[in-house]
Amino acid sequence: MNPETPPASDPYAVLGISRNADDDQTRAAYVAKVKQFPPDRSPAEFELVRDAYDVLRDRRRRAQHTLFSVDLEAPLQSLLEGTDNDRRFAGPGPWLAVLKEK
Amino acid sequence: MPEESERVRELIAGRHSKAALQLAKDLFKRCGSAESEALLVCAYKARIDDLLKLGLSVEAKALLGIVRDRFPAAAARLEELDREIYAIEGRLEGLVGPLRDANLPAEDRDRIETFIRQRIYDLPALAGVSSLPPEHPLREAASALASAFQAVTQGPVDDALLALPEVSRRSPLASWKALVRAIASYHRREDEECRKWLQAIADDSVPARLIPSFTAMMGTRNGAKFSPAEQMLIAAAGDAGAALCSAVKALEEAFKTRKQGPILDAMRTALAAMRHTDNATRERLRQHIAVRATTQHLNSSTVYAALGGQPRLDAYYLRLLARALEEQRLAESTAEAAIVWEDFRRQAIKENWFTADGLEDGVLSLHVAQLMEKIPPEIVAEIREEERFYRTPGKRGHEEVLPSPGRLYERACKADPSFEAFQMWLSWAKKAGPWQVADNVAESWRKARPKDIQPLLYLMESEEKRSAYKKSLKHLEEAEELDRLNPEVRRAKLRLLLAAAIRHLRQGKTHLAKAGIEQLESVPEVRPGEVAALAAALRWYCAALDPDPADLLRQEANLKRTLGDVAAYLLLAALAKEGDLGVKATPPLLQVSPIAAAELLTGTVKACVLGQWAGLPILLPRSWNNPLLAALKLPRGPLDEAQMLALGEAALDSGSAELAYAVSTAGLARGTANARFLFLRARCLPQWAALRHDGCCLAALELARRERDTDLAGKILDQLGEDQRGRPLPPELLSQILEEEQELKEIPVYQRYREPKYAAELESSPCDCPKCRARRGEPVDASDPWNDDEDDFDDEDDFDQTEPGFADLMNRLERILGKLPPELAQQVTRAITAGEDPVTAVNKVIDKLRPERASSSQKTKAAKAPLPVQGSLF
Repeated sequence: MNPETPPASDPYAVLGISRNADDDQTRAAYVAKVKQFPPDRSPAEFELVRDAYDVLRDRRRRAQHTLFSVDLEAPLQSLLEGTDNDRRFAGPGPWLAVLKEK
Repeated sequence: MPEESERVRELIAGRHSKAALQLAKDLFKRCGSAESEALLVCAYKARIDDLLKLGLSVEAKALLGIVRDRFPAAAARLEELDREIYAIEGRLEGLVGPLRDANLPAEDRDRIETFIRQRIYDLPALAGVSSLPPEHPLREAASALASAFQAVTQGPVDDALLALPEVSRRSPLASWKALVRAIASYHRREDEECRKWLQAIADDSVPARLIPSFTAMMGTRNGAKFSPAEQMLIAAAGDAGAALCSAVKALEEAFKTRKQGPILDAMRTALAAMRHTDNATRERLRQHIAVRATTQHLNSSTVYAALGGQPRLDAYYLRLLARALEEQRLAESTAEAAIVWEDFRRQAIKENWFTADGLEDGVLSLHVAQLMEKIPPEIVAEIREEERFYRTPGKRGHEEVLPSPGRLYERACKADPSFEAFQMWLSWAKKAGPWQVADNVAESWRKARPKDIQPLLYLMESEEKRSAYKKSLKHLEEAEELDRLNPEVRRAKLRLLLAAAIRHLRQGKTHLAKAGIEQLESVPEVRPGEVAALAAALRWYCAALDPDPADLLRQEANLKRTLGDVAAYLLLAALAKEGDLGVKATPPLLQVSPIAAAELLTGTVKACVLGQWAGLPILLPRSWNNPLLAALKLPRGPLDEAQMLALGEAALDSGSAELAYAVSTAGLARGTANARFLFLRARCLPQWAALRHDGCCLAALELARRERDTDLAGKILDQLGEDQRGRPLPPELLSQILEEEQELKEIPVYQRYREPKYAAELESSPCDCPKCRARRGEPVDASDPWNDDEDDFDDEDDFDQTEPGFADLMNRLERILGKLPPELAQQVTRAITAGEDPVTAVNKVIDKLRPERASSSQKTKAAKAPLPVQGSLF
């Protein structure tokens, strides 16, 4: 399995499309992915891509996925992905306040 | 006065400078010695020091002047206080001025430099002291450090700025250089480098005051107490992401312990770490944490208190909660999930996730309806009762907390009128109420999807059951108009015409029966000769009832020619049973002994297949069991899987569990269609082999799901108990069940019965005690009554199976169950296992066997002509 392959649980991530993608965009993304992972060369990846497309091409299955695909087992840390992790520059004030304090 | 002197020193050491000074004054007045004077100066010094610490520098300065005037000899000892006052007042000139003197004694220089290292924090002031020349190393160092400090705290800096050649290693400001480099490394996320520079800071220096804050900001010191200034620094410059990540990880670990105390502590820490996160992330975290806590059955108010309040009840949260409740797979949780899903729907529509009556609404309503079907009626009744009790008039309007599956299906089909949705609605309606409910559903289906045949076929069947033959025919015609070639329509037509012909024969109306037979002959055949055989069998009865001996012989010959002796006999017997015709016309007898086993088997199967297709139950004589069993064991059996399954079903209908078991053995030995043969085996197992029954059903269900055989899966689910339906079957257990069942070729006998090995993995009714639930990885409620250590009774003492009355009861029960059809016997066993009184359980099942009381209108019709039980044809 390609380590860069996104998790199978999210068909949007597998096809690399936004959640608002329409049918044409979904189909185009599927075709592009199939070219990238042809079944004879990357069968596992192809299966992932095909499954993802199967979910998204059918409006009812897509709705089911939207409503019920909640990963309850996902670690809480995963909710912090994409949050700002920089150490902020606070200026000399707060540092000096501690230095003056004692 | 050594005691008093000692007391003064103790008071100074205890920082009670005021009392120490008073006592020292008294002592000095009384003694006036040099020793008491030195002690008094010490007490003054301590008092001035305390005043400075309290921020009373003016008072301290005044007192210092008085002391200096009164005790000029002690001036040198008071210099340190002078420096302290200079530092506090920002008048560093006087403090550092002596350093200008190149000949300053080393001792004095050290004292001043130590003071600078330990007390001076105002670098710009030090850089600007006028008492030192601008090129003085201390001023230059202070100036460079002040600029560097300003720069590293405001943004990324180059390494060149950190070189600070102006600050020598021996400088009293050397620790500041290390501090500036530590701050730069911290912001660059070079934590190892940062720690190295922090270690280079002198412990007694001013910069050392920042070390605790640093360690906290790098996530290596959690939970320590910090001063307000330190908290502000950590909040402003701290690594909030790392701290939160570490707190959340700790919370995740705490959840694994399933202990309320550590979980709540970890929640509080995580909440504190969330302060600097953006609102959206914070809320998501709180929602997920609250749901995790709910699944662990923690007290909600305690959890909300630890989380700083209830999380936002938006659609995201409600969906999360509903899914979590669903996953618990307990009846009560499923009911709660259904309620929460309804709340979610309202909220999601409000938040524009989807529109009411849109596709998503339909999908959701269908899902909730299916959940509702899983909830035991007593729990639904309980919730409705509570709802009535708590409902505020006018609060929710007409909406119920727990809507009925019927209303949910209706909503689902309105929003998404799909075939599957209507099929599920009709399937529920058939089980849920009187025939009118299902008929109304079928009518709704017709209106919404006029091209679907299924509602017409259902209506046709329903009307035929109620003897509304004309209406039934009308619906058949409509179905034929839609798709005449549809095999289901053809089959339904055949069944309807056959049922009508049998009814006419029962009523003795042979002319009507003959007309019906002609119509029946027009139905296209699936297998050649089947319709002709049915027609010949029906005509045989017409000839017998008329009576017409010549035609009787002709039809008998026709029938035997088409089907063979064995199948002809079984077909005539089945019609006699179905139409109560045996008294009026006795079918010809058949001598089995001269017939070869293989021929008997082939003929029987032919009749079974025909009966299954035409909806006519074929009953196998008990005396045929042994030859049929022998035939099944013949090598190279002539039957295909469909034929074998038809034989198995007929054997079950005839109450011949041994024959059905033998069919399942032969079927499983072939290795194909395992799902159907396992399901057949499950139904023919004796009632006391409940674990094997569940094992076979679960394995069959898993295989049916893999084969996407929803029809079979539905039948298996109906057979399985509530507690087993949602149970997952690991692949290795499935293989084990399949292998062991293939090996178990003989029907089990009570006296020699041994549970198969896989039974250890399957508990027909999993223990609900906290230990077993925890072992299974299920949530355990701390307030569970099971937690009571004292058992209410001792199994061995109170449930003595060797009691004579019990053995007698079991024997009688065994005999009764042996006389019941296997499916009903299973129901009784289940009820007893669930705790029902054996006598009540048996009576309930026997009640089901009694004919239903007819309504008044039906009674009137029944008075005219006895109604046949035609429903069995469908």
